[in-house]
Amino acid sequence: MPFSQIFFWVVPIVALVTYCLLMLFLMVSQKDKLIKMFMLVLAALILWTASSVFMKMELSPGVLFWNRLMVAGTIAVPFLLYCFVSVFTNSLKVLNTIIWGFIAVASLIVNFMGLVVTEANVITNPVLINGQQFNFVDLNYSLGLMAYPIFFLMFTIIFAILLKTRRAVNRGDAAYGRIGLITTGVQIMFIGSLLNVFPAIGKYPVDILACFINAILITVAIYKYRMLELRFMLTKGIVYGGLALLITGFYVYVVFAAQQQMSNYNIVPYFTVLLALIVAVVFQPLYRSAGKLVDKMFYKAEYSQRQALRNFSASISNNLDLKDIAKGLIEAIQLAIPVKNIFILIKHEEKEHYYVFCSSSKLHKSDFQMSLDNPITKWFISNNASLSRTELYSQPLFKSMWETEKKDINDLGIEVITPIKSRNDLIGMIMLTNKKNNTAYLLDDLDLLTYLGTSSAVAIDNARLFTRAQLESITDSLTKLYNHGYFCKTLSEQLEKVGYAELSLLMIDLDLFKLYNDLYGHFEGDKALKTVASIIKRIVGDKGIISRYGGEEFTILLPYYDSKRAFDVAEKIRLEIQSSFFNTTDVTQRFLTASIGVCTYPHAAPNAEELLKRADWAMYNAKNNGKNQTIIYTPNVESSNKNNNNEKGEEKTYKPVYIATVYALTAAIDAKDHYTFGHSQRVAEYTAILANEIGLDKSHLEIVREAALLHDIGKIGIPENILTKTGKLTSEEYGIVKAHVEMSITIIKHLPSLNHVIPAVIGHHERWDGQGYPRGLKGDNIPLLARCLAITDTFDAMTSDRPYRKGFSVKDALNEIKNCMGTQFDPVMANLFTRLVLEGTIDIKRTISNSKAV
Amino acid sequence: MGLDQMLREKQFDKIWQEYCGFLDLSIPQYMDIQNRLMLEQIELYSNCELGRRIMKGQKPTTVSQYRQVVPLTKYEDYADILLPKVESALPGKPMVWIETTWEGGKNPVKVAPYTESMINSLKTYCVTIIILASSNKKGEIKLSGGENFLYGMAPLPYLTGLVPHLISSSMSVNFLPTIEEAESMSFRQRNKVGFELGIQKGIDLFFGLSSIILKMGDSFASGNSSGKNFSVLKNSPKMNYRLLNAWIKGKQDKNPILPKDIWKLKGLVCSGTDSAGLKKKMEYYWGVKPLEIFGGTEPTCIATETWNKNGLVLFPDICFYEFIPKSEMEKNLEDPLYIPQTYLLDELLTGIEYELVISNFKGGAFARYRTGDMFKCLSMNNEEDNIQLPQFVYVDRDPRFIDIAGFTRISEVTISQAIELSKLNVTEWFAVKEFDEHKRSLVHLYVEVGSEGMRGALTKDIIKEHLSIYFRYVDTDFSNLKSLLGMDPLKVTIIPTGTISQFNRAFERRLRKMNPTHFDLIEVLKIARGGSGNEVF
Repeated sequence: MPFSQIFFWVVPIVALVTYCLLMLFLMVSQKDKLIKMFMLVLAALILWTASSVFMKMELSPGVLFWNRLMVAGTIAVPFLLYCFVSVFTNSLKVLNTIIWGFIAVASLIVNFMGLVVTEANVITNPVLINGQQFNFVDLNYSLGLMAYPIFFLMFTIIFAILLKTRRAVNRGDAAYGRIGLITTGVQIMFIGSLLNVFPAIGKYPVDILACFINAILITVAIYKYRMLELRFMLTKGIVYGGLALLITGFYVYVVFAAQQQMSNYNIVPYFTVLLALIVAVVFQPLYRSAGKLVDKMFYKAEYSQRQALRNFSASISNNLDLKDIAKGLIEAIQLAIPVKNIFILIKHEEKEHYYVFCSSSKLHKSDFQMSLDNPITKWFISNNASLSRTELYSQPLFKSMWETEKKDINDLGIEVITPIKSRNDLIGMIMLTNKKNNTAYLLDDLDLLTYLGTSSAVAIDNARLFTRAQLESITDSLTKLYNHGYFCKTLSEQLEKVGYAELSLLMIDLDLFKLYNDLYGHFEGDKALKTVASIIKRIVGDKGIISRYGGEEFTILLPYYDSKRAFDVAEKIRLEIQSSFFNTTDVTQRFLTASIGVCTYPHAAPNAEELLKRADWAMYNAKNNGKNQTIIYTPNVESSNKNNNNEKGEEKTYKPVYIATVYALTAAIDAKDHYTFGHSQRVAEYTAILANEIGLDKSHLEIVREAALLHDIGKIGIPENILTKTGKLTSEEYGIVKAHVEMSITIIKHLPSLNHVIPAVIGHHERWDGQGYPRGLKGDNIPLLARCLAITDTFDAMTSDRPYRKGFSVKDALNEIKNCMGTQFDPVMANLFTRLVLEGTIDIKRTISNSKAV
Repeated sequence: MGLDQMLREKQFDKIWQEYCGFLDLSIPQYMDIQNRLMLEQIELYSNCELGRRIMKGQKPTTVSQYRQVVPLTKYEDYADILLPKVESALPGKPMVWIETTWEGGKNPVKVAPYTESMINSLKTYCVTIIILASSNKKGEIKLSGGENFLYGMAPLPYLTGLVPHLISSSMSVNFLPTIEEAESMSFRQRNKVGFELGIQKGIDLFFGLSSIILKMGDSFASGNSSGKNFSVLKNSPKMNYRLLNAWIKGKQDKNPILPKDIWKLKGLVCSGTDSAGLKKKMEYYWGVKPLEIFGGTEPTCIATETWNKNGLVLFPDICFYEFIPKSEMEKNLEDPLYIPQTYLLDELLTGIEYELVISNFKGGAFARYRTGDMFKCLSMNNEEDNIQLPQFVYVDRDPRFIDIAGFTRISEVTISQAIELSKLNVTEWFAVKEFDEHKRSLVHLYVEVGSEGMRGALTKDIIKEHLSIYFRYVDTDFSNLKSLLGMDPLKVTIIPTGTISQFNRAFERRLRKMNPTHFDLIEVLKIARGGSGNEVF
């Protein structure tokens, strides 16, 4: 069949089928105003095209009738298209629409009055082509008087449509990209319709072809700007099917045409089969290319999404690196959705917020945080779907957002937030800014994001757990600082990293920490270590690497810090520790200070080993020079330190100084309270024997003796009238007396060389049952030496004469001690003491006479 | 997407969700919003001089701590910062200062700063109000954009003047007259021009003081309406048709033309004291149920009725609300040193009257501020409308003030000043808010004149005349009552000399000068009648 005849029939039929299919899918899909208007345009196009087909088929009631219906379609389409464009560009004006509507209706009436087409008929001419007869169908029509004015009016409407779109673009109501397809379609339709004026061309369905192109362009425009989900209309099967049908039709036509040609040259019949095979082979790639084309044209997003998902799934499986996973997630999203910026937020367990872990832009706002009580995070706890910006404004639950929270979201330009939930725990979020083409997010985009959030959650959770486990292996569990192992590893690494630049090492040791532990217990000791760790963390921040080197020792590596700057940091830390512990009025926090040694690579130490050793030297030097100070390592320090150590080795030079202090202080209290004259010496004597009996070494015996001598030193601060009062003390006076223990500590703390006696002194009024003072310690929590001192102190007090009573006999006093075993006194110590007295190991009389002699 | 576009595209579900969605909140969700925004406000307070002063230098970390630390406040606590508008001392930068008269205060006006964030929230709720005013059921939106809005309220710097600006920035509305024109007109002129334009173009929405809305209706009913002055040529064909229709109907039924015969309102919004009692009549005149809202300079606009127009609901994100039960408030009136207990929204009891205490959110100035407005809790939810939030009815100002038709608030200071200026020999007095036969409020002043004073009907009139003059002098709004509403807001009764002191002796306490309790009023009037054997004049 000649091309003109194929064109004559195929164009209207293909257009009609396409329109009907479009209409069908529009009818079942969700409709808004725009879609409804487009359906009206389609209806008019169907009228136009169907009439054309029926006319050619010469169906009843006749060619003229179908011709007039076709003209009715020609009149209705521009008008309805005008309405559609008005809605599309948000520029619907009632008056204008009414005017054009009136014109359209008038034209329709004129048309049906027979003033547009006066006569129309179809002529079938048999034509012989290549010896074969074909029936050529031709359309003949005569235009009436009103045809030209009506055509003119229709063109005016089309022109008005073009003007309208242009105005909308100029006004900024519609972007050219958005409306360009529609404008092009209308222009094509305009040209196609214009050709109808010439019956020679008008007898071919050029106008229908133009309208068909227009309808397709409108459909694409609607789809492209998410006014209609095209996939609801054109399922993949239909598109493929339609395409296959077209290609097959073309294939059959080619084969038959070729056969026809060949038959003229008397080629053998089996050649037909061969020909079919050749054409099929040639068409095969065409099929494949067409399939790909469909995928790319209509399912471009889905195609990219599928690719993205495949790549992402492969990349996260067995990956435990959180950074890699987050990066992979970002890449997957970027591949599927053309988004400007993506942020991955991860939950910070300790700080109780979500922070930007990584972003697709290097310029992201890294300090963005979202608290756990932010309404967004709360919302995700009970919802798994993505949250759009519009919902943030419309959901009443988000009314509780703080202005700063809203501003942060706005500043980042966040459009969509997707949860990353693992086992119902919101472990992170994906935040997306708007798309690169500024179009809205499609439902499919949101579904994909939700899917990516869910599928990445397990991987992210595993990676977090792995990271946590890794971190724990290099973290000190108490202080949450790096541990010794990590420090050793990182020291060399850091030295390597700084090259020839400076790196300072701070070695911090807490002074008298053992005493602190003895005095306040290990629980308080641990608390103190945590406090010190937090002080260091606060001051150093992320400028250095802080580790707990061991026990009460901390190290800080400060890359690119010279000794002066490192010294400043050290002093800041030292003073902060001092003010946190030393100046407080709380009796349990009085004595903690730090000695710090600083050494700087490469000037003061050539390598890691020397750096560590020399910082240690400097720290010990600080300790030996009176503690609570910072010393920078220099060769001079080392030599002076050596000298100091030598001096320290000879205790003789040191000891007489503080022994003299002890006796001076004892004399001071004895002078104040004559009735207890010699009390401290006697108690010292008894306690030393008791301590010796329980197996304490020589140094402890020395401590307990000194403690016993100084245990009442605080009484210096008690007014004499209370100290020597013969009557019963008032509760106020008793309170003052009780305070002597703390007073003792206050005095002793100014003598660093005597600090070791403090645990015994502070605990000598504690009771075994926890009813004592000042701290109400109980049982074994009372330092051992304090428990000894409690017994001997009470015993001597009972057996001494007082102004208001005569002293107890030794027997009575021992009975009283026995009575108080397990309540006031440690039963083991009390028993031992009783035995020692009864055995005569503790010679009371001799001791008393000795003390008096003193 | 803007509201106009959403209306054009008929995205009614989205619109409802955005503007009226808070009505679906549960009480715990509502309280969560309240608490969280209060914490934000504490944060803002802690960074400014005013806040630090109010919170006594502390920074509460919880809302209950805040309630313990911050005392109940009154305007005097803010006057030194707010009146000179010291912006640097405030928790948020003001975008606009709203003004109102300070009844009984040391200054003629009091001002309140509104931050941008507060304005944004108010903007949303202004739209909420007109949506609800025009709806009769949940989810129903009758607005289409471009409505003609007759706006019968005071212009800026009053709070009511902010509303048209807020609405017009959210959606297309034609104010009658335009906002710019209205702001340069007097109240009377604005209403007159508004109605003339309403006759020409039609009215879809009307927002006014209840007393004014009613007065308009009364004018129509009595045939004195200014709506008669119109030109057929200027009117739209639709309005001419309606006018003709109304005229024919009026002639047939021999009834006066009422506003509802001319205009088919989509929504009618009213506010002001005594609204509750006037709503039925408003509906009769205007053909639609009025929607009552509540607002004030310090708390801003904080409550609206819903589609059924049967109870106020407080907006969740404008202020933090606390409530003083009436019994506690009266204890405090008797003993100013007594600190009344406050309750939160989820702790209220149905049927109890409460004084509202507010703390502004979003950088507002007022913290635990006693508004002096009394609300009655109608119910803790509205089962019929499936609203889980407490429903209120606005009762009145607290007894220290007498609010007349929402125009003026008369305090003890106002009356004392008027009496002093009048040089009348009034030795003792007390005042009570009462209502006339048309349910319009008025001040009933009971006075004792000196022993040589005047008695009889003539003297009562003289006293009233004198006081009326001086009331107008000390309270400018007082004069508007007569001129705009045609009502006489003052009634005077002379009681025998010594009545009040006799009451004080008998009950061993002083009779409250403003709105004594119902019991005290009965007792004092008994003394007035019976003690001397004379009638009360």
